[in-house]
Amino acid sequence: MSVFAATLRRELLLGLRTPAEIINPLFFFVVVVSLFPLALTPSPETLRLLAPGVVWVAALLAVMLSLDSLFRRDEECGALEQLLVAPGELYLPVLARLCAHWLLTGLPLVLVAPLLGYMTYLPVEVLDTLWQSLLLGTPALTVIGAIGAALTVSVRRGGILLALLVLPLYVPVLVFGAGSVGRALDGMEVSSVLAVLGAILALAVSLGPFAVALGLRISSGD
Amino acid sequence: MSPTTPTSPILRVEQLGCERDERILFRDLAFQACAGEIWQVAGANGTGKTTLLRILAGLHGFHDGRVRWQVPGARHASAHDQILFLGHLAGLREELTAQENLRWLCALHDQPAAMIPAALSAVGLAGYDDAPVATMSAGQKRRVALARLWLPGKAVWILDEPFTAIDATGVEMIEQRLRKQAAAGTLVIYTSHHRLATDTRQIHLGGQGA
Amino acid sequence: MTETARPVPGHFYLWSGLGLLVAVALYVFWQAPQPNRTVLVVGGYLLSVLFYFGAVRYPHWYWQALVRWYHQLGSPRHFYRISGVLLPYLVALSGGLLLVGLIWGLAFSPPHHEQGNSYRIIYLHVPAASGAMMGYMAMGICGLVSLVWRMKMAEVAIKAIAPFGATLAAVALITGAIWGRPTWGTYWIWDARLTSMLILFFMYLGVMGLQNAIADPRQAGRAASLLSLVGIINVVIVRYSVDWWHSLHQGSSMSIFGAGGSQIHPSMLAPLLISMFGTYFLFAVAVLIRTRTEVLWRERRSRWVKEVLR
Repeated sequence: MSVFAATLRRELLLGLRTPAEIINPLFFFVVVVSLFPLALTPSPETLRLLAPGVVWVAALLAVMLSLDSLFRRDEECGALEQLLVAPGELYLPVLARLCAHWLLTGLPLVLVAPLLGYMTYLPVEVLDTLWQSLLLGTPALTVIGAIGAALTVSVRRGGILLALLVLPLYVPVLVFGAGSVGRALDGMEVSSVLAVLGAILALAVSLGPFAVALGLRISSGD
Repeated sequence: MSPTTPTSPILRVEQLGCERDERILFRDLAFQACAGEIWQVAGANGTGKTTLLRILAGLHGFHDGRVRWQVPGARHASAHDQILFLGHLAGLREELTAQENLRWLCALHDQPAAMIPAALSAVGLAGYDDAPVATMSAGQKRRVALARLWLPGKAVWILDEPFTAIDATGVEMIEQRLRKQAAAGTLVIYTSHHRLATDTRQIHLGGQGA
Repeated sequence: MTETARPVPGHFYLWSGLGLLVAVALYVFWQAPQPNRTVLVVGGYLLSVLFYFGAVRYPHWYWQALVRWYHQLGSPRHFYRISGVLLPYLVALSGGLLLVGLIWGLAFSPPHHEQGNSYRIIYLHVPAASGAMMGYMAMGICGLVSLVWRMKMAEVAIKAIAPFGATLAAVALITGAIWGRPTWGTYWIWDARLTSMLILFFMYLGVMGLQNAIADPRQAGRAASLLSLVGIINVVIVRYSVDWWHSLHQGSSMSIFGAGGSQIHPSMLAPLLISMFGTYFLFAVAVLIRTRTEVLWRERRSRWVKEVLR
């Protein structure tokens, strides 16, 4: 079995054996979005205006919080060490692990987002843009955040530090992601903005795993 | 890479020095190891045995001096594809079974996954293939990790405390395996407070140097 | 390059220095409201002659000089010696430029036709903002050098740059807020450039936080290198995304330069450029001092440090 397939299989198995890791970010996403009407107002006009930002920020935080455990479990049991001494480039196993992580934590967010958009009074025709922008945006968030997770894997209690490192890096994705939904709400065309999100995703997926691999090596002391 | 005769060293360590947390672990360490030799890295706790093994395996890069591998058949100068490194952590995820853990490690390290059941029975874990690692005792977990010693394809073994948590018969079994494999041309470098019965070369860390 | 490196002749440095001066002069004239054609043509001719002798006819001199500087900068001992020689000149240069630029700008340049005297804070704001930006770029380049060539000095430089860059970003934010009060009637507005600067400030904090969280200095240095290299890509994308975001929501942007970019009057531009260069040199001074201290600490067990400190 190729390294990519073997790693993908292992990560998916691990995810299915510990379902809490999949469900918790999803719950977090749903709970945070439902807090906003309580904190602000149940008025549809206000909520509709704020919905793109609220859903996007909640999704971003859910992705970020899921990342702290991305490499930590493997680091604690020594499996990360075995990954680092493996012959060959780390690109493929790292990419496989990020793919699996997104499938388990990012994809559910994309799937549940239209429901949350509906609950925050987004018009039905805007919901398409919402899930499309999240589909392009959340994998980029996973890859960019993984760089921070790799750099902080040797730091005990690195959660807050991870946020400090990663949140500024998330700004472009957030701006274009929430911006695309905002434009759709104003009835403007969004394909150009989605294209920019796609470009960011392409950049993140092509270069990101190299940075993650380098970060893991640095954290191991190389 | 130049052709290597059986007696020429496949590992050359020159002027190796490392410090950690404001403390010099070792300095000017130099030795040459050939295929088929068994080396024990000895020394008290905290003298840098694990760090030395991690440097040899290419995991730790902050050191002075040089480590040069010339392993016949290695694809890269780092010889990563010929080195089997077992750290003091077993490298097994508790949620997975022994078989699943080893399959991933085999795919990662170009070792044949088909031989996993045989390797597991060799370490006395026949029938434990599908047992989750979480249900195993510390000794059994270590045996799962050590089962990789029964998989072919590596010319250098770097083992950090392989005998930890292993019972007396297990220690005997692993010793035999190390001796047999060394006779077949594998270079074995291990840390332990337990010295193998045969003529083992020693590197002493802490105090008197190499 | 051959093994026996020929010595670099002294007039090579003379030519390079002259070329640099001409380039700076050309840059200043380019910024002028009505570029003086004659000066640009003569200057361009001079620059190309110097470039021909320096880089085309004797390229190996550049290469040798580069290799030598690289090795000397990479060695802590040589770095300490060279920076010790440079430091007094840099202090004098930055102090002089800042004094001239700030006094000229704050006291003698004419008031703005709309904003009156309140615009004068640009003599602090613009140099600080551009220094913070340059600082992050320098940090990213050091990160690249440290990751590719494993140069220890680059790691030390990152550690030295981050706090000063963060300070400059903070100064730019605070002066921006003070300037905003008379201009917009409020201290804070989500202006595109202020927002970019805020994110840059956060990114500096991230590098410092990572640096502090990792105990091993080498590991911390390399981790910060990777983060600042990733950050430099991010800075560029943030810049574009924030501009786009701002145009989407159509706020007001404060500007002294107007739309064309070079409509500022030369009597305002000259002191601004002078204080900008003064800030860059101040940056260099601060980074050099911090780097020298850190080098001494890291190499404290070596013989040369004991000799220096005796």
